[in-house]
Amino acid sequence: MMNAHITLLEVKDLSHVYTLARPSWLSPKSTLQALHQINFKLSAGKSLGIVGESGSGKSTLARLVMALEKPTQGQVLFNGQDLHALPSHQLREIRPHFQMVFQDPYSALDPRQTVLEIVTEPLYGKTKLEMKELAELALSEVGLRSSDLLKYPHEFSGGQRQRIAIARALITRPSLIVADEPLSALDVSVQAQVLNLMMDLQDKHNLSYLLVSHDLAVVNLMCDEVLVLQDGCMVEYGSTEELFKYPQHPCTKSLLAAIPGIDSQAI
Amino acid sequence: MTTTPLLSIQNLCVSLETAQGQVEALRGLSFDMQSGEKMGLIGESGCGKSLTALAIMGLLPMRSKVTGSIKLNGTELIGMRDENMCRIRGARMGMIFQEPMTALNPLQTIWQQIAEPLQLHQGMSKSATQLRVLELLERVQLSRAKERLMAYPHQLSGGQRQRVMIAMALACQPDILIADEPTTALDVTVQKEVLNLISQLVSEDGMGLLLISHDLGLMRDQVDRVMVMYGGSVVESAPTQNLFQHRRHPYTQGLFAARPQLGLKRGTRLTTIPGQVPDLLNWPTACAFADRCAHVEAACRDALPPLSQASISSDLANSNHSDTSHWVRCIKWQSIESQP
Repeated sequence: MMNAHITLLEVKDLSHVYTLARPSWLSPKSTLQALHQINFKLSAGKSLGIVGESGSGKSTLARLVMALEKPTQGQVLFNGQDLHALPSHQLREIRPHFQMVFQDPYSALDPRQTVLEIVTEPLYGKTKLEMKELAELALSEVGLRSSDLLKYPHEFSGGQRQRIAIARALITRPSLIVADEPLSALDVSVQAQVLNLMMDLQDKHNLSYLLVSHDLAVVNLMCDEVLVLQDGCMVEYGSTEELFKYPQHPCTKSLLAAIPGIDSQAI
Repeated sequence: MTTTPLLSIQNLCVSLETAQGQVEALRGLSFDMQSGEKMGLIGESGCGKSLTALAIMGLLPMRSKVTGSIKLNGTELIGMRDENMCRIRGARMGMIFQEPMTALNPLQTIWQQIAEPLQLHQGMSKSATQLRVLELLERVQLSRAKERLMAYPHQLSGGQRQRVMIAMALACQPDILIADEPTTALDVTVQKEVLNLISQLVSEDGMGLLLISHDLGLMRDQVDRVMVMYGGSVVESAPTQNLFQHRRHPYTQGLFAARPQLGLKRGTRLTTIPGQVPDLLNWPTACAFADRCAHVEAACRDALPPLSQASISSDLANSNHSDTSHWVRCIKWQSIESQP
């Protein structure tokens, strides 16, 4: 077991600017400041929720942490190594330690690959037999059967597909899983199953989650800390309990008030 | 009740033709809606919510078999000739679809799209429509409506597009508005604005509203009566307040328990409904929920349980609410404790 207080992920002064297409070829290129000076730390075994309205930079932050894009400025330190300063072969070596689960389980799985191929894709340098064993183990951990290995994604329901996506993320034994709205494409009862599974896996493997979500109730249930984004800026950051009980920033307050079925006076 | 209900659905059955044969997708749906009433339809995907909306609008896929009756102001809609149906659809019934990006035509300006039902159903002239469209856009609170008349859907945000959809649905002042998951594609904050807008417009015009959603919390804010669907039929129907206080059907109880709520301790495991929604092809013939239910017994698998009327708490029975009946489709509802 790792020490629970080791900083697993540290984001320092992270900013990202997208260059937009010119409206016409005479006008200058316009830019969009997607993220502005984001700072946070995530300890091993803990979870951080990122909330905000759409367009506030939640997914951009997830992509930068996953090193899918290079930030304009700032650092993403994973176990002390700056992901964006590493040469590509070294980055590839540490990629197995942080994995991603995407929003839509329908488009995140290749329809022409079997579950075995999908789940073992992140592995390399393993024999076929080892791969199959690891895949069976990963599937059993997410509550699927090893007889499912040779099936194709279309044979599964949304919840089962999300389980396959989680199995694919788990197979490399990562210490961090970045999940971008992993539940929003799922039905209520299936959401609860996947949510329970994610929490069980966290306890079992001491995983850290970076959870991007618009559902504050889910964040409340899963995360130790929350980061509220508005127009690319951090407007509030703190422990979930504190922040939901005593929201300071108007943006957090309006997000909490917008939860359907909640009496706005109760907050 | 002596007055004709605005919308009356009796024993509606829909079966769809698929590659694997006929599939019974709606199995005996019945409900009445009075004008000015706001009803909610809730359930998981594949239980027939959207199909109900499409059946009412007469937009079911070709070669689907429909039996039963759908009456709008006493006029039977099933079996109606297409040209007559076209006169009602859009004029007397308006619908807001789930995904405004796919429901709007990307090649037409928004004013053309809102004008279409006006010109089609009311034969309005071009200049009159333009004024009316502007009026509608102002009514749905689209900011800078005048400048946006010539805008294309891609130039608007999700919330703005949904406002345009609402304007289109309301253009001919329909008697009934069907909103099929109108806010799933939207942000939580925008969602609240759009729902409040729909609710306000419906109250102003005294329309009937059928709101379809899978979000329980949203129902609580918006509708007078909630119908819970499972397996192509309504399993529980009650005034919203009553349903939230006394849930009778095991499926409804499961749905409520599975919902994460603010205030739960971090790491609390949610109570889940075991199993998954069965495939449409293999619906159990009797109680659709039998295979996932904790209270199941042999009799549950014999026949589809009838809707039985559950008792109403006294505080609600005394209120001046129009219809306070609480229906539940479970043979064991009396022995299952209602959950607050």
